[in-house]
Amino acid sequence: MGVARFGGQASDYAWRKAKTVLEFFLVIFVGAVAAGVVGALAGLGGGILIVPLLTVGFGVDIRYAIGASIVSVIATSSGAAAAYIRDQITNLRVGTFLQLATTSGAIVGALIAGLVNTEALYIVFGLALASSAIPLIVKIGQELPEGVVADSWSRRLNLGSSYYDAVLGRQVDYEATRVPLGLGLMWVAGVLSGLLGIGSGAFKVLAMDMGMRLPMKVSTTTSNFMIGVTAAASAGIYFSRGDIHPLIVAPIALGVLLGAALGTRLLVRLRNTTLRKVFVPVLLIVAAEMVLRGMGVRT
Amino acid sequence: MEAPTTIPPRKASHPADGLLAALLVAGVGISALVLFIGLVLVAVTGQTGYHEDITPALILARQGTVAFPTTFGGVWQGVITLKPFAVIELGALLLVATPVFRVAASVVLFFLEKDAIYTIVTLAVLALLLISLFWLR
Repeated sequence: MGVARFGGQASDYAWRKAKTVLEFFLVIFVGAVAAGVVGALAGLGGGILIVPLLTVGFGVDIRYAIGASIVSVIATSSGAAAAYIRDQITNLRVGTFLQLATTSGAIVGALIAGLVNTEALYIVFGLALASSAIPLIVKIGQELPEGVVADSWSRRLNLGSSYYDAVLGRQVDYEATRVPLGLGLMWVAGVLSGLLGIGSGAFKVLAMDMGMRLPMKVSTTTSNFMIGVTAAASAGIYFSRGDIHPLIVAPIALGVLLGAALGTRLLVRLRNTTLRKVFVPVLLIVAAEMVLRGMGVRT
Repeated sequence: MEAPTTIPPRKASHPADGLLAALLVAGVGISALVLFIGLVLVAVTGQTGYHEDITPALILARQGTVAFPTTFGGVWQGVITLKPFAVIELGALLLVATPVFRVAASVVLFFLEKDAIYTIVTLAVLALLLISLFWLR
C-alpha cells in the first residue's frame, strides 16, 4: 500500500502515475479490495482502513477520504446486517433503541468535522486507529456475563431476550442492565462514526458488552446491525458538503464490497485468532503516521 | 412438560425479518450496479459531465468549487442527462438511502405489531436520519 513511505513530494503518490482515469480507478479499486480483505480478516470492518489508505497511501484530501469511507461503511455493513437480522442472535430491540444515541451522535460528529481543521481530524483518527488494535490484543468482555439484573429501563423497554448458542448447544437467556451508560457510550460511538467516517463497531460492542453487560455474541451481531444506520446519519451531511467525491467513492465502495466478500470467505478457511495479531504493528505504525501528520511532523 | 424435540429450540423466525434482510441486500445490489455504470461511463466517455479536464490531479487539491452535484435536485438533473458523475452520486445516495428505507420499514412493522414504544423510537430515528439528509450540511 506504500503506507510506510510517506512525506516528501506529493508526486510520490501512486495516483500521480496514473495517466488516465481508468488507471486511477484501478489503483484505488485494488487498494480498496486489499483494505476490504484485511478489514474482514482482522475483524475491523473496512472503514477504519480506507481513510489511512487514501490519505497516507494515496495523498487524497482527508475530507474526501472520510466521505468515501462513510459510504463504503454503509455498503459493507448493510450486506452484513441482512445476515445478522436472519441469525436470530441480533437483538433488534436493543439495536433499535440504541440507534437513537448513535444517529444523534453521528450527526453531531459530522457537524463537528465541518468545523475543525484537517490536522485535528488526522490526530483524532490516528488515536481511534490505535485504539482499534486493542480488541485484537486482549479479549474484551465476557462471553456469557453472570448475574445480570435488568434495570428499570431494560424492563420497560423489554430489552432482555434469548438466543440459541450453537457452541454451547443450548438456549441462552440474558438481561440488559445500565441502559443509560450504554446509551451514553453509544452516543460517543456515534460521534466517532460521524466525525471520522468509520463504523466504530468496536466501540459499539464495548458499549453493549462492558456497559450493558450483554453476551458477546449479542453485542457483536447487534453492533453490526446498527452500523449502517449510524453511518447513514452522517453520510447525508457529507454529501451536501461536497465531500463524497465521485471519482473516489465509486472505486472505493465497489472495491471494499468485493474485498470484504473475499475476506469473509478466506476467514472461514483460516480459523486462527492469532492471525489477527499480525495486523497490530501495521495498525500502530499507520496510526502513528496519522498523528504525526496531524501535528505537522514529517509532512 | 413436553418431551424435548431434536430440533434446537430456536425462536420462531419473524416473517418480517426476511423482508428487512431482502430490502438491505436489494439496496446494496442496486447501488453497486449504479456505481459501476457510473464508473464505466466515466472510463468510456472520458467525461465527468461537469468538467472539461478530468486529470486525476483535480482530486488532490480541494478547489473552491466542486465539480459534481451536491444536492438531490442537482443529482437528478445530471442523471436524466446521463452525466457520469451524477450517476455515481446517485449510486452513493442509493447506498445512503438503504438503511433509511430499512428503518422506515421497521416503523411500519412495529406499528403493525402494536408496539407503541418501539414505533415511536423508530420514528424518532427515522426523523433524525431525514433531518440530516435534507437539512444539515
